[in-house]
Amino acid sequence: MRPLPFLITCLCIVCFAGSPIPARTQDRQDYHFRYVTLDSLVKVVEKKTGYRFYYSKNQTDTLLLSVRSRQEEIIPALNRALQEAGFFLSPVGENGLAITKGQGLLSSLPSEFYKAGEDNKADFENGNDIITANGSQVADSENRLYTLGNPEQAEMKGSVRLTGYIRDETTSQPSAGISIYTEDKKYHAISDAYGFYSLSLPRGYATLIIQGFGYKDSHRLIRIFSESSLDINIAEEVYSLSGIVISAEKMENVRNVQLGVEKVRADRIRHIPMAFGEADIIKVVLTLPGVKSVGEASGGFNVRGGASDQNLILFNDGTIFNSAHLFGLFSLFNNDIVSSLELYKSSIPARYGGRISSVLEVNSREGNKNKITGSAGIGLLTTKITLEGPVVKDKTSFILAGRTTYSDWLLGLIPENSGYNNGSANFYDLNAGISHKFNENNHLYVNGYFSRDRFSFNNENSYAYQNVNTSVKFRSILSDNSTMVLSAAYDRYNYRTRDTSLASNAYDLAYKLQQISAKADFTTRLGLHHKLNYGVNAFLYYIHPGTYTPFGEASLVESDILEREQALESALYISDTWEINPNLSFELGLRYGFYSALGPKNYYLYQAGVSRSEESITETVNAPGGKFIKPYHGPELRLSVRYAFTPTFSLKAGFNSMRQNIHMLSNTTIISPTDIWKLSDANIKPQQGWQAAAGLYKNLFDNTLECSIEGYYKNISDYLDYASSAKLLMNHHIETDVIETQGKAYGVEVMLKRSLGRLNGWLSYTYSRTLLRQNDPSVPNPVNNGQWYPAAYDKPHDVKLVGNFKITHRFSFSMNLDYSTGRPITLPVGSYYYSGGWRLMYSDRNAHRIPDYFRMDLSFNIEPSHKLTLLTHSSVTIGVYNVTGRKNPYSVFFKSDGHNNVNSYMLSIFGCPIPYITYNIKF
Amino acid sequence: MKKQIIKACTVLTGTILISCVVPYEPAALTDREGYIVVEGNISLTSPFTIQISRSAGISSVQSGAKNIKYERTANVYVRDRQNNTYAPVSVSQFGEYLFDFSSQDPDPTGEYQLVIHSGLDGNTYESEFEQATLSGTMELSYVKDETAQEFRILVNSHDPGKNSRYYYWTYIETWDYVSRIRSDCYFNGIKVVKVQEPSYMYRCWKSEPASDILLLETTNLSEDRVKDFPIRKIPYKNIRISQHYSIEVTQTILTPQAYEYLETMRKNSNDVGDLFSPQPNEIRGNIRCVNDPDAFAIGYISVCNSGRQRLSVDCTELPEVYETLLEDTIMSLKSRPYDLSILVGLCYSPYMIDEQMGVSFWNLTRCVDCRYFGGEPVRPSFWPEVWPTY
Repeated sequence: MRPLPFLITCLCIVCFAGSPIPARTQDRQDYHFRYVTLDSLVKVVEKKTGYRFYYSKNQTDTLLLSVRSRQEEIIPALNRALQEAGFFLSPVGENGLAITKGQGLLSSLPSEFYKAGEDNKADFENGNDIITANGSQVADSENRLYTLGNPEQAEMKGSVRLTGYIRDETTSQPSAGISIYTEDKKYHAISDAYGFYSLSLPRGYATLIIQGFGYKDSHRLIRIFSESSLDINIAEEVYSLSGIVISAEKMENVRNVQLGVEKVRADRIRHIPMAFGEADIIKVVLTLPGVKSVGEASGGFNVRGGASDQNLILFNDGTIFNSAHLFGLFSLFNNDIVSSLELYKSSIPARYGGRISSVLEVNSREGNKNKITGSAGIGLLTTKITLEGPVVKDKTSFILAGRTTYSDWLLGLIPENSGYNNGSANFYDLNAGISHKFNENNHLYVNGYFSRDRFSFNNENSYAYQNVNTSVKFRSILSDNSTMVLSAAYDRYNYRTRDTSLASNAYDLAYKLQQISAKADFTTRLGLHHKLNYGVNAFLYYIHPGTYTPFGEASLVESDILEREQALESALYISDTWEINPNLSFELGLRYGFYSALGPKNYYLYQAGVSRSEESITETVNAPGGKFIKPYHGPELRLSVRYAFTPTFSLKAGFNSMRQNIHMLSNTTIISPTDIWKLSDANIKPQQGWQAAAGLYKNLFDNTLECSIEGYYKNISDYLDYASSAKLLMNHHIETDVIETQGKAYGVEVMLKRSLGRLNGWLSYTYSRTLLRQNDPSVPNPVNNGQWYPAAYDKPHDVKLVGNFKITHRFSFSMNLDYSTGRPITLPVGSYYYSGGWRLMYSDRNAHRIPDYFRMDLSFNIEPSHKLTLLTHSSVTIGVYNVTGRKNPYSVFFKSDGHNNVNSYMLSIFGCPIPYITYNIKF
Repeated sequence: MKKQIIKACTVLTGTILISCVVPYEPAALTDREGYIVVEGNISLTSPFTIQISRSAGISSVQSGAKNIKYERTANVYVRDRQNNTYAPVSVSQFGEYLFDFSSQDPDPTGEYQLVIHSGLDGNTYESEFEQATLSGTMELSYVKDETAQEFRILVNSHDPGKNSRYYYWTYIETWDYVSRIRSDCYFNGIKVVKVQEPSYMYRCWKSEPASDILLLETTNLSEDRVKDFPIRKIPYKNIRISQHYSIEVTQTILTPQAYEYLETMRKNSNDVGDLFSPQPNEIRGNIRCVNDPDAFAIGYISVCNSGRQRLSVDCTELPEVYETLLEDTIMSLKSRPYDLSILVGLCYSPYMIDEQMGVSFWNLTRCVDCRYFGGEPVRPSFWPEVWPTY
């Protein structure tokens, strides 16, 4: 027998050992051995006594024994002889005897072997001792061999499944995104947002490697016979430097079936230098390839040529409609409570729907289940504080976070005669979350988010908006194979503008959007090759498109209230992740969506074949409450395939089609405070799009360097663009001012990424084009005469570099570099004198480009000292945004300055280097 | 509505974000020039002018060229549905075609169009037939705002019949001002001599039309009323309100389409360059080319009987702002003409002669001669009698 497996077998068997050496009936015979090898002696004794002997040949090769005894005492005599030679004889099972050198084998279980509360049943049968554990074992030790499952099934063919939870050792919080795989890298799994993993692997012995960013690499030895579960606790990485540490994320690149998925850890967000030191998730998303924005003040982002409203932004399963505070300066998400961020650019799983370009999913983390902790941060413009801890230890925890800004001091610096220095601008936001564990299988999560922005200037204009998101999620493990998540959410976005510049015309204009959603999601594993994900979503929308009321006693404004819109959207989906073999996997998803605007509503119908206008109204329809005004429905395909040539090189391809029923209307280039969302209805069709993408992914240098190249082509139809001089606010027939547009986008993204190590980060280059066209023949004056024109965020070349270098454990240095072609703008082609001044004449939209964009930021991070016993830990970041001070143009424009002069100008937003310092403290 | 928010937002972001607006010349501009530009409105009850010019390319205007190409040779007339035509009375050198057929009692309910046969490009342009709108009443007043240090002209209009709704104002403001130092002599090229008549260098008048497009709609109000709309805001230290100020406001009531046209023109030229600026875009006016449907004409011809009001304000009691005077430069009466002309070249002018001492006193022309600021010592006919002549 080979030594190691033999030894392990011994160890296993001895775990289950029980009885002392039993007495057995023997034939009467005397034994007399003189200087015989153990082999020979054992052969004889085995035949005569019926015992079975277990020993290592290596250890006993040179052993020569002399034993003399009567038959019935052969065992004790042998024992004595062996002891003299330095060996031990130990009983194993009913008939077995083990000969070991140096020390004996334990003949009974240590009392603390199994953790309290676990249910264990020992079953002894024919020398094979089996333990079938009903609860999960918790694997804490790297040196123990964990035997899992029913050994009776040891000889069965095929793979088995191992499931369980991976948790942080100290806080007991689930660890998401942790990679667990066999040593030969052929079998691989990742823990999900709840820390749950499911790995299928062949029966028998295995060494499992467990890796995750921020955690020490560890391994576990297992021997698995049949389906079973094993929970693993992992320790946080304190020293993550010297040498190159392989990370879980690297495997992801090659192994994941989905294309175009980007995941960012919350820790990394803090290290990327930002304007004013405000860590901003949206700005981090902008550093990823394929993601652009129109300019630095833009709160929105564009993914692979899609418009800003085509991104589904989910926060704890609630939808976010306005993704920034204060014109995109500050992030909507409080970085301290975010646990992870995932951006799906290409393959969008079937469980998501409703937007056609991308899905950005941000989840907040659960509170620390063990003790109360918190953190606070002070920056130039904002302050934030987070508090978390257990309500019932290990069962219920809470997390609270708040943030506010105090930028009024900046406004006070504005010169007095501008009239704006009496203004004020501020926002605050609050996050609250509770997570409760009923038992191992059932968890409940309740989350709430509230934010309010307000700004006003010199008592003439003021503006305020609010976001409210609340969600409840119940997760239940129905069986070993299936999981269910039920969730319900309520989201609200509303704003109010007020203008008191002319007392007789003073008004308030309000807008409100509400969304109620319910989702049921099931994940079931069928056999070893299929993982099914299916479910149903339903959304109910209520929009008050505009409420215009007088303000103040002198106001002559007549109230005008646009009728409320409502709609129902629902979808069924099913998707199968089918792993044919470790090299080839498919993800086949189908989502079927149904949408209709609902009554009560009065709406117009227009003459067909002619562009919609007030003159072409044919009738007014009064739809009663609850009536489906105009249903739209259709399927969406979500297909992707991955073929791994080797464990480090794979090819992926995918095709997705999507539908979007709610549109954001804007006639400004960036998201402005008065943009509105509009539902599809009898006159406005849903947008539709499809995307085909393919890419090659390779990990080099022992998985330390990830490389990928991905190309895509995208087609968008019925995207809503506005007509010339459209009136988008308080428009009783807004469908006459919008035009359905067609769009196409294509590009190639090349990325190199190094996730861990002293020097880490990523470098990407993207070539992409996005073109739009108004090709509706009934429109009298289409933009650019119905030709293709570039969209406002069409920037063909784009290079991004994000880098982080750790000088020592505490000090690190970050750099961010961004280069892109200038965005298109519309410049005048002529000028004429009219009504006392020079006026500008424009022609083709977006026919020119502003100069290229280049920006470099640097920052220096000082991390908390690693003394674990300190009461508080503080970290400081010092940096400079826009180090080179380049006046990156946001726009170029011509302006007539009165009577005789037309001058051209360039507006840049951050025109000089901006230094900043932020201070964070954890307690 | 939106424009105030947008302007305000820009200032906030502009300041917080340390933004810069710098002059910049984009390369490779496309130039389209030579389009016909027609400005004016047909009036049935008073004289009116139609001004025709041609558009310039963007590069030439950007580089500072200010020449407006007027078209003086077009055949222009007004036509009604019954094919009666009304010819202009005269054409000015600035391409202004003056019409006045109020004496011919044109039908106030009829529809009229403007027809242009252009000699420059051989095209014929016609505006759409429009019906006349009524001007409505208007009152002007002014207010002095001490806190904001501003002088404001306010317009109040009201249409009980709720027909007006779309208001468009233009104005011509005229003001007089005086030089710091009253001068009674001048340099005739050889020596300094006394002026013959009352000094023409002390008090000057200047006129300027409005350069902004002033629009307001009252469709959202319960009454068709414009209340205290500030049509002109002048800061206290402005030369316009140093002595006397007179403004003539013309109120025109527009159709919704005409209003939209002018509003778009205003947005394209003025509401640009801000972060939240809407994309500029073109809409067509109501002038189309008969023989070439692709030809493009700029302008909107409405038919309306504009009302006019004048407001004159004596501003002498407003606080004055004086520049500090430099010390006088004293030259001998016998100085060489050459030396004196050098002084003139340095923007100095004489203001007083002292025969006894045989010297002339010189100071900066800007303080001595009111014509330096572009005014003329010609008193307008409408100038109130009670105000000083010189």
